[in-house]
Formats: sequence, structure tokens, C-alpha cells
Amino acid sequence: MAMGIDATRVTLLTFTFGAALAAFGGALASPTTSLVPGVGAQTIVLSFAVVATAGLGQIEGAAVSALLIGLGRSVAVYFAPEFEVVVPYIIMVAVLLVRPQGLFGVPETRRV
Amino acid sequence: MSRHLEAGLAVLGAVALVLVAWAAPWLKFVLTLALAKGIAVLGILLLLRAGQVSFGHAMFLAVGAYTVAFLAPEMPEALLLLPLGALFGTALGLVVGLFVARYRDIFFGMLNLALSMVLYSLLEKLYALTKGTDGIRVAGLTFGGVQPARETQEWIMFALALGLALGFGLLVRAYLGSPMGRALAGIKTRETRLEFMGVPARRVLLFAYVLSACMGGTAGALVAMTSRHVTPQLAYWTSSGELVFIAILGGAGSALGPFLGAVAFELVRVYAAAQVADAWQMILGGVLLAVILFAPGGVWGILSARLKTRT
Repeated sequence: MAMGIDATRVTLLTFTFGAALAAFGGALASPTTSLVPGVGAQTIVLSFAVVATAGLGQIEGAAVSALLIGLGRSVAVYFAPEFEVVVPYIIMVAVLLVRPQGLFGVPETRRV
Repeated sequence: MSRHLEAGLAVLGAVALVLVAWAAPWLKFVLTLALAKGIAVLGILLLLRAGQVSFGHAMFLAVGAYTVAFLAPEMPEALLLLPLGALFGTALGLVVGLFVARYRDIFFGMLNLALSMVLYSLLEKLYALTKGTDGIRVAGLTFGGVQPARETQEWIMFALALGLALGFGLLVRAYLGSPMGRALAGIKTRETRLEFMGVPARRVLLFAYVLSACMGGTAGALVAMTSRHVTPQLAYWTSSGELVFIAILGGAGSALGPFLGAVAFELVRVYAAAQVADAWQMILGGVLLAVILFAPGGVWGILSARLKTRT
């Protein structure tokens, strides 16, 4: 604000762009998944798992961890199909236990 | 003054609930479920005081409910199953809490969501143990050794839910008034300062989390005993979302808020589903939007503002 940047505007633009990207992702995924009204919830949880594993704000990291989690699921389908759905969360929890800021994240200094 | 106001409203509300349950017997079931959910939402309220939203709190409800469903065939005594449901909820709360109390804000919410989805998947996929999405029918229950008639049992469940709601309401009031409860607000504003004062923030949050898990487990046991059927749906994210919804609808300002919210929610749902079966979710969504935009304090906020201007 003090530097002359309109924070509300930046938030609005970021939110809009984020929503556009999400819609784009949905369009790309629709031919390979089944479409149901609740499809968003499953996806948002998975997306967060990917982002949290990578570290917030890490764009390249998100790509890597998306690959990690996607492959992890596929491997689980082969070895233990019952637990396929659980794999992304187990990966996330395991990563966050060791590195609370995510795989590629930078630790934040705490505000006083 | 507001102390007397709250106590008076609680007594008034309890009497009103009993009268409604007596006048319209079919609503007794709805109200019992509403009270049970109110107890679970009371737990959400504790975490809201610390500025943390749990999007996975239904997992404790599900644990309480499945405890009852699993143990009922061997041990049909409801008065033992209820504390056991609470105990298992508390135990899971301690394990999960040790992990999630290290995180704040979006991480806290989403980790809870993720863990509740793990529980949901396990309940759904381990068919041999949980019968999957078919769910488990809760076997016939006994109360103090006797198996009461259906009508009596409904009244007993209603009384149990009401008694526990009042008990937990008082407990939460006392807790929020204590130094440990006050520290929760410190986590919301600026946690580092709390630690400068020598208050271990993580432990304060953990205690609140375990207490809220205990209430979740109790609520789950009540739900299982009332509806006599448990499904993995109880642990699904929509159930957690419903609890957060009720918390916002009722208002976080008072221990009465969750119960006001829960009763309002269940009644709106029952009547909206009866009148416009296709659009009741839309009506609920509209109500929530209206509450967030025009009455951030929820039902409790509207009510207390009204009463304060009059006195």
C-alpha cells in the first residue's frame, strides 16, 4: 500500500487468474475423469496436497510434487489398490513432518 | 449482565426444545441430531477462538459413531458406549492434534481435511471390516440393562443429547473464561507475543483440539445411537463442511451459538427439503451467504444485539 501498489487490485487479479487456471485444468482433465457435481472437492484436496508438499508459492516445485503424487498413486493402484486414495495424503503428511515448509519451500521468519 | 442473559436463554431454549419435541414427536429425532451436531460444533467454536478452522472435524464424529457401531453387538449398553465413543474420539484427537497443532491457518484446515479424507477412504475401502458405503446397522441398545420401547428410547436419546449439550456448554464457557481459554484468542492475534509471555502456544492449541475431538466423539456416538446406522459419509468432507457452516450460522460469540445454529440448520434443511426437494442445498447456501454478508455474528450475534438494545 505504502509503495503505491493497490493491494485489493493485486488480490483480485491473482484470484481471477487462479480461477482461470483452475477452469483450464478442469477442461484439460474432463476427458479422462468422470464428471460429477462434487468433482471440485476431491480436486481441491488433492491440489492442496500437491501445493503443500511442494511448499507454498513454489511453481516448479508444484510440478515436481504433482508428478511425485501422481506416480505414487499409480504405483499404489498396482500394489495395494485399497490404499490408492490415501497415498497423496501419506506423502504430504510424511513431507510436512520432516519439512514443515514443504519440499522446496523457504522457511518464513515469524512476525512479532 | 450478559452472563444472566446467556443462562436465561439457555434455559429458555432447553424448555422450548422439550416443548417442541413433545408437541411434534417426529421432530424429536431431528432435534436430537441437531443437539448432537451442536456438541460437535462447540468443538469447532473452540478452534475458531484460536483463529483456526478445521475442515476435517467430522472425522472425530465418525470415530465416535463407528465405535458405537462396532461395539454394540458385543456390548449393547448405551451408557457405556457413549463414554467409549468420546474416549476413542479423544484418543484420535490427541494423536492427530500432536501433528496438526504445529500448523496454522490454511495448513491447519487442509491437514485436518486430508486426514479426515484418509479416514473416509479407509472406512469406504476396507469392506470386510466396515461393509463399505453400505454402512453398519447399530444393534439394539440397552439403557442401564433394559431395552426400552422405541418411543421411550427416543425420549432417552433426546434427554441424553440435551443434558450433554448443556453440560458441554457449561464446560466450554468455564474453559473459555479460564486463562488457558483466554490464551486461544492470543493465538489468533499474535502468537509470538504469547510465547514471549511464556505461554506455550502449541500446547494451548493442542488442549483445545483434544477437547474439541472429545466433543466430536461424543456427538458421533449420539448420532449413531439416534440414527441407528453409520456410513462413511459421516467422515466425508461435506459433513465437516456442514459443521463449519453451522458454526458460522450460529455465531462464535457464545457457547449457545452452535446450538442455535444447529437447530436452525436442521429445521431449515427439513422444511426446505420437504417444500423444494430439488433446491434445498441452494437455499442453505443462500442463507449462509446472507449470514456472512449481513450478520457476521451469526444467529447469536443478531439475538444478543437485539436483547442488549432493549435492556
